[in-house]
Amino acid sequence: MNLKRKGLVQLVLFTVTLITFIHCEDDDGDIAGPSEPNASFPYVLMTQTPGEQIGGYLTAFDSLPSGDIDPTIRFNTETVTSSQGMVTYSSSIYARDFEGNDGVLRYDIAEDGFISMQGFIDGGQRMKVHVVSETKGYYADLEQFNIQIFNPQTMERTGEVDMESARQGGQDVQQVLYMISRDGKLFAGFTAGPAAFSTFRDSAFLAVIDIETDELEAVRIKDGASFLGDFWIRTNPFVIDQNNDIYMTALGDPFGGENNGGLNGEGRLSKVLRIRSGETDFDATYEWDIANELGRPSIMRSLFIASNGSAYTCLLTEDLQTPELFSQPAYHFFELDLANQTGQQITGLPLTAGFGTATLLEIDNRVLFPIVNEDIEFNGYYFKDLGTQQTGVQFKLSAGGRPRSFVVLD
Amino acid sequence: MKIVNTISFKFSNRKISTFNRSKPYILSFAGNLFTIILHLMPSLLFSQSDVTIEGKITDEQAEPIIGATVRLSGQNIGTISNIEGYYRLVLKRPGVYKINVSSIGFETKTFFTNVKSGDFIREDIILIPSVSSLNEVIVRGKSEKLTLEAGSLSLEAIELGSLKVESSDVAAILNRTAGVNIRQSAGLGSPVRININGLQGKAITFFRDDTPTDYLGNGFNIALLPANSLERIDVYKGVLPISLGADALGGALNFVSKRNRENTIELSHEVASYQTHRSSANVHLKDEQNHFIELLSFFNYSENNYPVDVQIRDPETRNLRDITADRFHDTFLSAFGEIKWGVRNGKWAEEFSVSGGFSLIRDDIQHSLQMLQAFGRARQQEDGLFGSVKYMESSKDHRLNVSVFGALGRHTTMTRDTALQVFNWLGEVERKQGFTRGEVNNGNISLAEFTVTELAGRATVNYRLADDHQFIFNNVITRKRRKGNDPVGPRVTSDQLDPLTVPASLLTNISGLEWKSFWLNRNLLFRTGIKNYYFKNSGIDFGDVFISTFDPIKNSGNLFGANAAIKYIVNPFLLIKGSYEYATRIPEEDEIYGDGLFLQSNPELTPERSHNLNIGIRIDKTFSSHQLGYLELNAFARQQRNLIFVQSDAFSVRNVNGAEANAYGAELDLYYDITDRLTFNGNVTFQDIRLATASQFTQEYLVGERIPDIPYFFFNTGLRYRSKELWEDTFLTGFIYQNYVEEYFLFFRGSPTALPPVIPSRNIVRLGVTTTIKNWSITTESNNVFDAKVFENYREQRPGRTWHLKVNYQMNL
Repeated sequence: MNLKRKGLVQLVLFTVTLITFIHCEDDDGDIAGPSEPNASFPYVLMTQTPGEQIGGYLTAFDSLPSGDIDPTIRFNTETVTSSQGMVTYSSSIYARDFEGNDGVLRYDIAEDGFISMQGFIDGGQRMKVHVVSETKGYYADLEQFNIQIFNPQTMERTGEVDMESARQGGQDVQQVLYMISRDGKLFAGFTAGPAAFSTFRDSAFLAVIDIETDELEAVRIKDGASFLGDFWIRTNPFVIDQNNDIYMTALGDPFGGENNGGLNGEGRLSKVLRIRSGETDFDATYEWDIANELGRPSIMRSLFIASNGSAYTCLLTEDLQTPELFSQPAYHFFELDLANQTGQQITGLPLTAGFGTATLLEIDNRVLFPIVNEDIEFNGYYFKDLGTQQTGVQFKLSAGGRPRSFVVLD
Repeated sequence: MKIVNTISFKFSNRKISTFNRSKPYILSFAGNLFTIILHLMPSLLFSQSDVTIEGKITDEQAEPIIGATVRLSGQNIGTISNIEGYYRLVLKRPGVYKINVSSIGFETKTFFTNVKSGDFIREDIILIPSVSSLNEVIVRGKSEKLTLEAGSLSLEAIELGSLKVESSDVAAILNRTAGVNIRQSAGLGSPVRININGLQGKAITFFRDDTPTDYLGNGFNIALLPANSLERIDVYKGVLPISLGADALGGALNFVSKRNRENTIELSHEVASYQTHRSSANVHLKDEQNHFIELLSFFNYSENNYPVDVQIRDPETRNLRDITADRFHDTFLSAFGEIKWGVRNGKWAEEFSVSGGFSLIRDDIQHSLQMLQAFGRARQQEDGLFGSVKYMESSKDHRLNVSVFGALGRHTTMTRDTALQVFNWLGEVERKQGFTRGEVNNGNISLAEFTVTELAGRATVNYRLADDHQFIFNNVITRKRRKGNDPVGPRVTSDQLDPLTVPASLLTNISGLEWKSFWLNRNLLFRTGIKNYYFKNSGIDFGDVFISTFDPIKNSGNLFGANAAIKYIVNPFLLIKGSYEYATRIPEEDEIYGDGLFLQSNPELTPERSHNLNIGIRIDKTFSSHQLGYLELNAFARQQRNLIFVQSDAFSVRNVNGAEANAYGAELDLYYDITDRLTFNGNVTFQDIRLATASQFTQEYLVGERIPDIPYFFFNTGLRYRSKELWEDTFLTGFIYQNYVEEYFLFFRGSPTALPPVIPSRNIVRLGVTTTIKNWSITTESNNVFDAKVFENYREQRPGRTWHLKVNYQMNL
């Protein structure tokens, strides 16, 4: 992979399925990384096994895969109990374990391509992970409001961030939804409501934490938006563009709120928000109701920004209810200009099934799009060449389920 | 000349009387089938100079007795009766003969006959049961077992007579049967799955006295039933007789109630490891007018606090470490009672009875499906009432028999899962719940309560057109209606409706007509029948929490099936049989509408179907007057279509239709009297069940792979020794049983799991001694003597070595 360092960093930043934005800090320079550096098998694919709730396969490739791929028979394939996506740091992968003891797993990939589990931290449901250095990371789950601190090297919990002062009066249930870091600050979207899976307040909440001291510095509240982040680890709701601006998607009330028409109702308060470079508060001049303005019934859940500055997402083509909302290939990919709040559908890409799709990534000047479409019997990745604008099949999964995450290790 | 006599005698002879066959009948157990048949064919032919004595041997109720010995007194010449009770004795020369007729459990009868050259004499014989005692029940039952097993269907009849004094429940006894594997996930009261020839779960249907058991509630369960509650269990491994009148995919259990003829009271109590207590009380009383009253009752209690290997997390590092901890929230209690009043052989009914009863269950839920998370508060309970009425009458010539049965059951199931804490395996509160509430159903507390009301009716008409031709019509109709509520459960978003309050119903009607006929001097039995399956269900898809509006989803269907079976008695010691059925299984109510806890609803579920082919051969051999043996080999092939299986996605776990499977298998069953006091029995089963068609194109790579979670190789062995009479009416019985199951995959290849994907092989030995003193028996037993680690279902750990002490008392009034 002969990419310039800048491009390489961007690739890693934008191909992880969780929001992890790798903030390279040069502290603890004499401490070894979590595992030995690996350059031999940098392409790592996670799939969801057919018929399984969230389990799947994890396999690594020494070159960008193309043609038909069968992860079930590869020499280095491991099964994973959660195909909810991956967070990468250095040459390690952090993923969620699901069966019974929910928690964070670390996988390392050796020079010979074999994947091995290196540690486990027991946690709660819907765990989110964000690694900021070789010895420091944060995780949050839906069982506790305090953000937990851990050592990625030893895979042990080391402490927690006290979130008590971020509690909103009268709200019984508060959870951290997603995290991203920039310039020594950890930004954590959280929600506050009267009960689990119930109506949430019509505001988006953001905690700003100092990474040096692990203290909560501020709570930002944005009215008119709701649910800052996502349930899932595999989506990518927070991104940083080339201007060092953070764009965040507020999912909106996932149940439509009272009398708001359900999942795709107008009262969801799903928005894209922005935090300018150098700031720790929302940009008061920026708020984009992307789904409504593009005439789509769906909220937007994930974002990706390519090296040329273009942003991408996928939106629903018709108003569907579950289970079709998740299983029917009814989503189109869109190319966005986040700053100017415009977007258009990408031609040449098939429809894909819903929220289960993996996040996007960029390799060799190609943006790769996960496609899950039983109508055309296709599971795999399409590409769009950023130079020629051509689209085509990058690789097809002949077995092993649907793609859930595809990353490139540093 | 044809002479017909009917003679009845009464005298006591409790010995087993058999005889040695002449040489052409001596068969090698390992002999080739074709060689055997060819070897035996000459014996089926008789010369003109022979004299023949033949007839039918029955009991007082005109039921045929198989295996009765007909022997020339003082000589080693004789025969035994076939499965219809018929015997034929061919003699080489005329003369006056004294003939003894004996059968296990009956008093021996003797008669004289004077035969001339070329005579063909018919002697029908009625045998009188010998006076039964606690020790002789097994003997009486054995002939019934032989009768059933020698039928055309693939069937194993398990007599419970001698086993009732053991601590084994019905499930443990079934587990020692060829082709049957019982899988209980944990201790007493935990879920039990039965696997018959590769079919398991809902594919197996349960009956009691030919009627589906659903109306009795979950308290009537193979893992809770004491062995002394039943006469026997019929295990059907393929075609189901029309008389059962229900849908099944190729496997069924029919629990046959005791038919006590004497006034008896049976009491038992068992004390076992982990605070386990099991009791039963059965009473049968009748008067001279044949009015009777029967009580069937049993009680089970266990704290199930046995040690298991689990993990707890360090409070600081949150890393997991292995520990051994006692289960702490797994107390189980069940009680079942039924009382029946009626009359037999009355003026206006051969049998009329009414019954009523109750069933209750209290069950703590200890852990998640895979034993990875301990629970400390969640529990379920069930309360039920039921009643039934039965009427049976025959025409004077006994050609027409009509039986009508009706039952009503009402069962309420409650789930209590409102804990706000998370427990660890030490029983400690580890933390307060955050996002989620409750322990069992992620994110949802539950106070769900729903009531299932079931109405069942069965009508059977049996008409014997001639001695060798019989028609059976059977119709079973059931209607189940479920309604409930959950004050803290999910609501339909648009109007906050509790979806459990919307009634769900399921109506099934299964009718069948069978023709049963005998050919070739009744050595060939052929039966064939057709079945019609009708179902109609209505309910909402409450598994979908996102729906904003709903209408009840209605679904119905009308399907036909057929079966045929043939059996040929080559000679009294060799029998071959085969059967085929195109079977249908209608999804059950909880498959369609979920369990209110783990499983969500799918009202559009459709029936499963299967083609079943079974063939079998049985060889009986008499080694000496006290040594019997048999060897039975059965094989099956099955195609399963439109399989119902649990599918989960990000937001639901529900049953769906889809995949297809092919299954092949064989089982070998062996019984041998090593001496007149020591018996051996063993069986071995191999079954190969593989995915034929995937339900999704993404699963096509699994086609041809063995379907996981089904044992494919297992065997059982057993030895029983019964002492001589040590002193007056005192006997000692020792037994040892061994059960081996080869390891098997828990999931399809590559399926993700936090657990090792294999259920390890297990080898369990059960050892016990029973002392019988008159009407008392005391059994001391140890199960899993070598304390092997045993895992089942989702790798849940079963108890290690357990100790049992059981006392039985039977009083004949």
